[in-house]
Amino acid sequence: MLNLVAGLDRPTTGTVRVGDLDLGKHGERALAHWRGRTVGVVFQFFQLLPTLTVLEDILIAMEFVGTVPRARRRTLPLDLLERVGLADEAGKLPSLLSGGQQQRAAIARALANDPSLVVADEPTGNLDSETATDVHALFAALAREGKTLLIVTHDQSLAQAASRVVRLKDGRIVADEMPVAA
Amino acid sequence: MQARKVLGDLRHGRGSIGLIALVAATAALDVLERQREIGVLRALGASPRDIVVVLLTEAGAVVVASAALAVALSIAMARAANGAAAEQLLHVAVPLQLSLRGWAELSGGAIFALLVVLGLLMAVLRRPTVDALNAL
Repeated sequence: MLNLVAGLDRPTTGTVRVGDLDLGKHGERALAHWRGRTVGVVFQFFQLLPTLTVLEDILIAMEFVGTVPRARRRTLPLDLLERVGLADEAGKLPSLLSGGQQQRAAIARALANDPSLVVADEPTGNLDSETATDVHALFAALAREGKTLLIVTHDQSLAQAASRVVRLKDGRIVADEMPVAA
Repeated sequence: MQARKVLGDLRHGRGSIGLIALVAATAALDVLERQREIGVLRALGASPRDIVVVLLTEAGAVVVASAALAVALSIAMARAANGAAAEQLLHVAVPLQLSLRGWAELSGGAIFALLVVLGLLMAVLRRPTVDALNAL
């Protein structure tokens, strides 16, 4: 599902609309550009690039999309890392960071181009409960800022914080709930 | 005599083609092994063209660096051999100059590098729709 929403995959039948955009009507290149500007992706296993420092990982995301002015690229990555509490780790390789730090770095990278939509695949699935709580707080702050978060999770506490919970079983929707007022 | 020369050339040609195929296959394998990284780059907004550029730039840098190192080592070794020969055999020193054969070998090297790059390009283009999330 996240593949479809992020424009990384195409449906065999039907259409996928994100906002006003019908993703099926656009080619790979246009979708890549749209994805870079509009969608931030957070993975369960972080997927930071192992040979780049945390700072460089954010910079490369900006480089592909090119919407952040060059002058701003000097300060914005550090601002993002500051926001997730990793400013002091900017020059480190991912292998030197804990799981929680890597996930926060991955969230900072997902925010590199100020996307309106953040999709996350089991973002707390590989974290201990304390670190997961930090990630919950980060997501809550992003939602308050007006970003849309689409999260696939088995983490009930994360699901209960969402404004809408859609339960899937064997590829079919079995429930569509609104646990808290949006 | 002529037949032996032709057979020798064929053997060299076959060896060169085998070596080129080996390196091109290794380069293509590198792309396959980096599916996860390619998936991440796609998720970050890289277009298939961006990914090709990244991979070719890396391959190009490796080829150029390897070629430069090989040329530098060859020159250093030829000079060392010349020095040793000049000291011990006086008139048998190997002249350090590019012959026609040298140019042919340089051209062969350039073709070799081009084939490696083409191997990479084919491997990348065969995988334009990497399933990013499932690749991770």
